[in-house]
Amino acid sequence: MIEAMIEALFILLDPYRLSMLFLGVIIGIGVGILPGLGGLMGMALLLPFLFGMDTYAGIALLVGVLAAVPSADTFPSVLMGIPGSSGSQATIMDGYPMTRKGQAARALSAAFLASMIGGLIGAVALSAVLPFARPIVLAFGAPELFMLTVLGLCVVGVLSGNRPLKGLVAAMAGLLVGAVGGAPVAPEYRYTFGSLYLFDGFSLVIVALGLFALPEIIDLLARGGSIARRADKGAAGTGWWDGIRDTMSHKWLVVRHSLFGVFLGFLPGVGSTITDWLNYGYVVQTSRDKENFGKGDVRGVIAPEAANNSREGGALIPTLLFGVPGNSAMALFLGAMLIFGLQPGPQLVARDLDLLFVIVWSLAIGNVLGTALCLVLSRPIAMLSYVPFVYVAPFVLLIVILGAYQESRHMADLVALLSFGVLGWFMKRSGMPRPPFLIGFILSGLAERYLWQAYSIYGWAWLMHWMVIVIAVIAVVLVVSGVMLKGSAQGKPQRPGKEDAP
Amino acid sequence: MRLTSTALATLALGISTGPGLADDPETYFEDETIRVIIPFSSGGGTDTFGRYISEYLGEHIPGNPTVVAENVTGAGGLMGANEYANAVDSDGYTLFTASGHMNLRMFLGLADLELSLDALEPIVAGPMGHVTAIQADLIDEPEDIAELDSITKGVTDPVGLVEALLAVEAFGIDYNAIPGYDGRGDTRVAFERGELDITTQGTPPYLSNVMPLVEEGTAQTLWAIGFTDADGNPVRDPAVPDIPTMPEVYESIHGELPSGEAWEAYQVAANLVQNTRGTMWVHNDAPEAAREALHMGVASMVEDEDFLAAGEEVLAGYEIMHGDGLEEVNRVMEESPEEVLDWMRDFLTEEFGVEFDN
Repeated sequence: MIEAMIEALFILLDPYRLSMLFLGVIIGIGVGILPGLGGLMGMALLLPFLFGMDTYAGIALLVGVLAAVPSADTFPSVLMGIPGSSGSQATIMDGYPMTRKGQAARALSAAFLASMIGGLIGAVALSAVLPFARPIVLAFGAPELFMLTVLGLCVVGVLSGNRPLKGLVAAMAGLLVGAVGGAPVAPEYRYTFGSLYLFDGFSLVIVALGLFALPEIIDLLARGGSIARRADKGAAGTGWWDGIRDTMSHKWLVVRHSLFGVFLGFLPGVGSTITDWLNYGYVVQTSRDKENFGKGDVRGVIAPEAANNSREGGALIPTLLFGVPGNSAMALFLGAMLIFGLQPGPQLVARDLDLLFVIVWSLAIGNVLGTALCLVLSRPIAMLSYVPFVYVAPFVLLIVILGAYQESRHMADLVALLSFGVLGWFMKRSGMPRPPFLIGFILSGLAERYLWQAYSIYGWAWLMHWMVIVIAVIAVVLVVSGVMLKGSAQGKPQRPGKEDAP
Repeated sequence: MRLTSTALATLALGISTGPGLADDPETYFEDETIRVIIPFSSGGGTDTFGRYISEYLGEHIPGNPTVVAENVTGAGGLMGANEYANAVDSDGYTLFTASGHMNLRMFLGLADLELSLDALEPIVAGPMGHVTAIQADLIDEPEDIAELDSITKGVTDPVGLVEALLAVEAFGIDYNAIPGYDGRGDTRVAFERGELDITTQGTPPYLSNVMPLVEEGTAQTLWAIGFTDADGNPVRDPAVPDIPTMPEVYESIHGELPSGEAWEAYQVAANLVQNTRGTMWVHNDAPEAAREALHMGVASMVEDEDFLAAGEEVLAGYEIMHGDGLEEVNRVMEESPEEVLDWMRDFLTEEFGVEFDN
């Protein structure tokens, strides 16, 4: 095992392969920074070049992209409140308010250090757990996965702050919009009105960009000035080191959420978006002093960022062991492996141990390279938040539109983007939280599918699975403790500035 | 501006020398670009096949055109197919890559699918077989298969695994269809988990993921889907010649080949779907020179050592079909009796709610 590990390191240290890894990291940072583009886009760009390429170099190239995207996508989330990719939505909750307060550099450096540690933990976990991972993955059947979606829906309570009713309405609306398109368990189409475009339902990227990006751009333009408030500018110079210190002083938080991220990555069918929000809900719910969450608490940045990097290590486990991709980027990775003639499966672990460790090393080195680059870049890029937004807006708007359009390249993408933008703007204005809408949207199809499968396979007996009961208890605790804590918080005076919360 | 003037120049050239060029396969594609529409997303089986062919085809077609593969995705492939049917010219400059199941959808006339096999001519195809396995504890000996009662079978898009469904139908096995799986990979994991009793996988994932289960004793290989010849006799899958096909297993238990409508439908589906798991099509009303040039390109491509070496894994041990070899595809399409197709449509509609246009 150790031998294979060292051998794999030397395989990767070949200058050509190392430069491919580096190229992958650069591309990953590029597509990560641009809102709407993610690992999927980066890998799709590279796929045609893989035919005939050295296997290890090609794998290093792709893993480089995978490792860098969840770090780089933090930039737009923190700086502009625009999700950089589907895995960095929860970072907005506290990262963006920090930027508004002039603490962009602090939020970014804290995020990147957390990402680096998370990514390394993910790589270690991948190599350590892979030999034993099969029974764990197999333990999560349809009933257990259904309960995880229920748990995800319970996070809505946490995200709604002191507006539980509005949060609930938003989540319901999200569930409804998520039902548009082909039904998950029957060959029928819902609310498509005969339009082929709606057969697949709305794309998550477009919904997220519409809900978060457009309203932010409109409001920033209407308000004038820069993203960060000038009055707080004094704090900017020292922010970078503050962020490093923040993450160091919350090191157990980083470790905890990295491990949680790996675990969620493990489970096929739990995408990066859910991982992100579950981690955010988790950190809010387990913190004693939670009044600053949503207003710029650095822990709300550290937790999801640690988790979204470590999850890539976890997500490789079902991909490599079962050949089942955890998300669309992993599906591409799988396709690339087939180009190299690598059939994922149990024998990959037994036979191609060196390849496996090349993946692990690429993930670790790519992650360190990527986060280090982002850390270096974060200081100058954070200055963007002081540039008057009118100069930045056209560029951002262009990128957002391109990001939405590249999803399926239909004109209807732009109509959908605009519609969700209008919806998001109204929600923002009326104080209706948008994250619950997004969560309802994502979980709608999954919840229906797993519930139906659980029932058709097990009848009602699925309710008695021990893990179902455990997750149910956690969900109940989450909701009840949330209600009780909120009850005690109601006694305190209402805090001002809640209209700024996303 | 530069783009416009180039386009104008090309147009002018086309007008002045048009007829001479258009008739000659040697020059038809000179300095041209061929666009290959792939109606599924990057990384899947059809995409890999389409990109693999696109990578090599250009340098073998007379005139060395540039070949560009493009994923036009959405609505389970309908977006790309309908674009090929309605929005591109039948001049040979645009090709269409389909999966075997996409071909069957076109053949049966799936609702909302506007591309028809009648309008297409195959230029190259790659076969891919499937193998079915069952939980080891369900049967002690092969005869038990006939006695199985309400076993769980995962269903993705029903047309997408129709050969597997028709195999259990033709065998007369009573099964409980569990819907909602995204792809065969998901059904495989559910099979490993024990939630599904039976699973049918493409040969490569069968060998890499199901064989280990067979070896550890938790699963048993049931049958290969295989092929049938023109007289309906079973033909073994060349990639797994040791595994008996479904009709052979049936014959060993019942003493005769299966019969009935499900069996007739099975033959159509197994041959069409598995012979053409990746198919590159061109409009059959494209100029003859274009079609000829494409066939010449494919004929030269399959002699290319680099092409064959790079494709070992993509083709999974199956021999690529081209030229006269595509006759088998045409035979199945021409010889399938309309009443068998009607039965298949009714089966998919009544059991699974799939809608067809005719």
